[in-house]
Amino acid sequence: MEKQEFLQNIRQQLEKARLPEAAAAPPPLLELPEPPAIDELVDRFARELEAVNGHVHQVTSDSEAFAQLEALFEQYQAHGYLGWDSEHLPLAGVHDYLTGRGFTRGKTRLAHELEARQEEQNELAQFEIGVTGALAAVADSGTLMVQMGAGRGRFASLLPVVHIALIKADQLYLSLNHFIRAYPEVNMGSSNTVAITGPSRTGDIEGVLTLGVHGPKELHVILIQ
Amino acid sequence: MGNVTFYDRIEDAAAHPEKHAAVGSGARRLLARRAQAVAIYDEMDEMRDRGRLIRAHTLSRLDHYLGQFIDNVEKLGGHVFLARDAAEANEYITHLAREKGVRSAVKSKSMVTEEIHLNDALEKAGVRPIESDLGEYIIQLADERPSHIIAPVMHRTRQDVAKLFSEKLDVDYTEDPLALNQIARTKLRQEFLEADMGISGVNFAVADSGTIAIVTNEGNARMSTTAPPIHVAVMGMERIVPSFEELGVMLQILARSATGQKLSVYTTMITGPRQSGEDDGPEEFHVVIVDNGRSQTLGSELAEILYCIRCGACLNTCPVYQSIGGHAYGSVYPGPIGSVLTPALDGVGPWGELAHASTLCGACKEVCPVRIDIPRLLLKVRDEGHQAGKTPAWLNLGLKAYSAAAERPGLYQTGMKMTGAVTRLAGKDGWIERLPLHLRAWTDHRAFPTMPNKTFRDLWREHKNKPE
Repeated sequence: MEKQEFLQNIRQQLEKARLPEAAAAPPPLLELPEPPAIDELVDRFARELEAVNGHVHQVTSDSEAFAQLEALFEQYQAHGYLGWDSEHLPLAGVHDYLTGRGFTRGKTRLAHELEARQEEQNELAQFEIGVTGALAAVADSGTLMVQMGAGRGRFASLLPVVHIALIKADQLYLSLNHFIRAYPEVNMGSSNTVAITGPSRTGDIEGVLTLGVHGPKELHVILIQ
Repeated sequence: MGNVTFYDRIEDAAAHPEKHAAVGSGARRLLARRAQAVAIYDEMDEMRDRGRLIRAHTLSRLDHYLGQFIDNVEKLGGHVFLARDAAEANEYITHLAREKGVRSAVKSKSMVTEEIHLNDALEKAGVRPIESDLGEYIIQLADERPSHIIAPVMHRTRQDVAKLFSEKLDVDYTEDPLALNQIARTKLRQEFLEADMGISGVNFAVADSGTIAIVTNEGNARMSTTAPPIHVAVMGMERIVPSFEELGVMLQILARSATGQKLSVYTTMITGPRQSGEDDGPEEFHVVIVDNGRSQTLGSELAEILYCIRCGACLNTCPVYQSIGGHAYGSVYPGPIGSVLTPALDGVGPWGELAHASTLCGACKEVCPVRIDIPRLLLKVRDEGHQAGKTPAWLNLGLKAYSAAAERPGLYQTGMKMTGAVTRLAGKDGWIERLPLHLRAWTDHRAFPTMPNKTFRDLWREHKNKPE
């Protein structure tokens, strides 16, 4: 149907619409409480994410962060990973570090041409770990706001069994409302932004919790203070 | 859909107690989780009030927000198709599939695609649709319809699933949900990566950015909208918010009401197709906006039902739903929401009877995150049916007789005494096993009590005269 016709039809119906409590404007902006100090935000974030089966590793230096990263690679006996480009990670030199230790970095930038794209996509499935950064994090729900784009592939936080996210403490917001207030245009020109709250899960079979349905089974956040 | 058919489906539900047990316990489990989530969230009431205002305002300016959304999607290189009805929507999607040589389409859960019977249309067009939500995958294998809008396979036990998987997927029999999950994960991963098209629903469209938000716990919406080179999002035209501020509110009340989570695991926000320079994402992005009776509902007495954000809380709390399960309703949308929405979209004539499967207890209204007055709407549906002559003659007559008596106290008293005497004559040990004629249906599954010797008025008179 043509757009004008479609919208005109709606307008006609609206003339007789009975919509309880419809006001002329959306409700005014929520009044947001003052966020607590960073330490409290960090603790809250860790508690909430762990409550949904995520893991939070608090580190206070780059070298600690690297050590934690290596420990995870060893834990999962990974041979390779999908990673975001360096400029989008809050830790400098991640790829040199990992490839230097013999881990293969997968090619995440796919072709546009369909056949080549399909081939390259199939190659991605072999990597056990994905390493990304995040745009921000939300403390009261244990959520990562992960924004995709150039050098920030979608698959890195989706395909591998393990997702490791590197964030800094100052990226934390108290609530989703606080985050959106700071970033009113959440999408910011990117075709995909995902709010991630723990590893993939389902309760579809008799309500029994199972992790790692279609997304990662393990989510580790290395939080650098 | 006559009364007999709905009744038959209810009888069928009653005849399968295992299914009834599964649905009842599943619904109560989700209800308990909602209660927990609400108890720890001080702002829930405030957010619900806000959610209601957001829905009301947005619908009152639906043409404006849809217009804005469409412009924004097209600005980014996305395609928008406006479908008057199911046929138009299916025609667009199958035409696109044929044009692009699509052989398989992987789908994430979408109630509106069930509503328009998209899978049937795809199959007829030679496209293999693959449901990727674990619950939907299971019912697709079982060739069934979903019984709940959030947990589609709530009516099945792990034994059912084990048997299904071992038969249809040629795998070893296992009842362990973790193992069953792993089987599905492996099978579906292959499908995701090789599908030519991904089809999703839309939980909320964001008008001022041309973004669509899709909510899942499994990650199947992310996979369906990332791996295939074409993404088609199908959207009920009322599923829209003005900006991300309102999206934030809706996401928080949705998650808590549906499953008791603070937020669902994945909220994927998609704004247009893959931009040049981006690493991955679909090359083509289409949004199919579906009317299919919604604009007519907007202009009707039932407009408030369009506030619904599809959380399923009303299903979980409804004693009727818990007893008869989702399939008995015979429509894509069961429970209290379905009892209003289905007649609204598809006609009170064939579907008005759903609104009678209710005691008007109001539990649904209590839990609705946007406070839809479902009991009021159920009465409206019943009234529409009555105005259209659906009430049987004997009932009309009986109600007229009762009204006449109720307006005449003397006649009423006499009538009550006589009725009481008749029940005591007809009954045995305080119960009547079988009521006569049209009232027989009442006693198909239970007995009718005989009336006591003394009426309330008798007792009142007696007590009035007693000393303090």
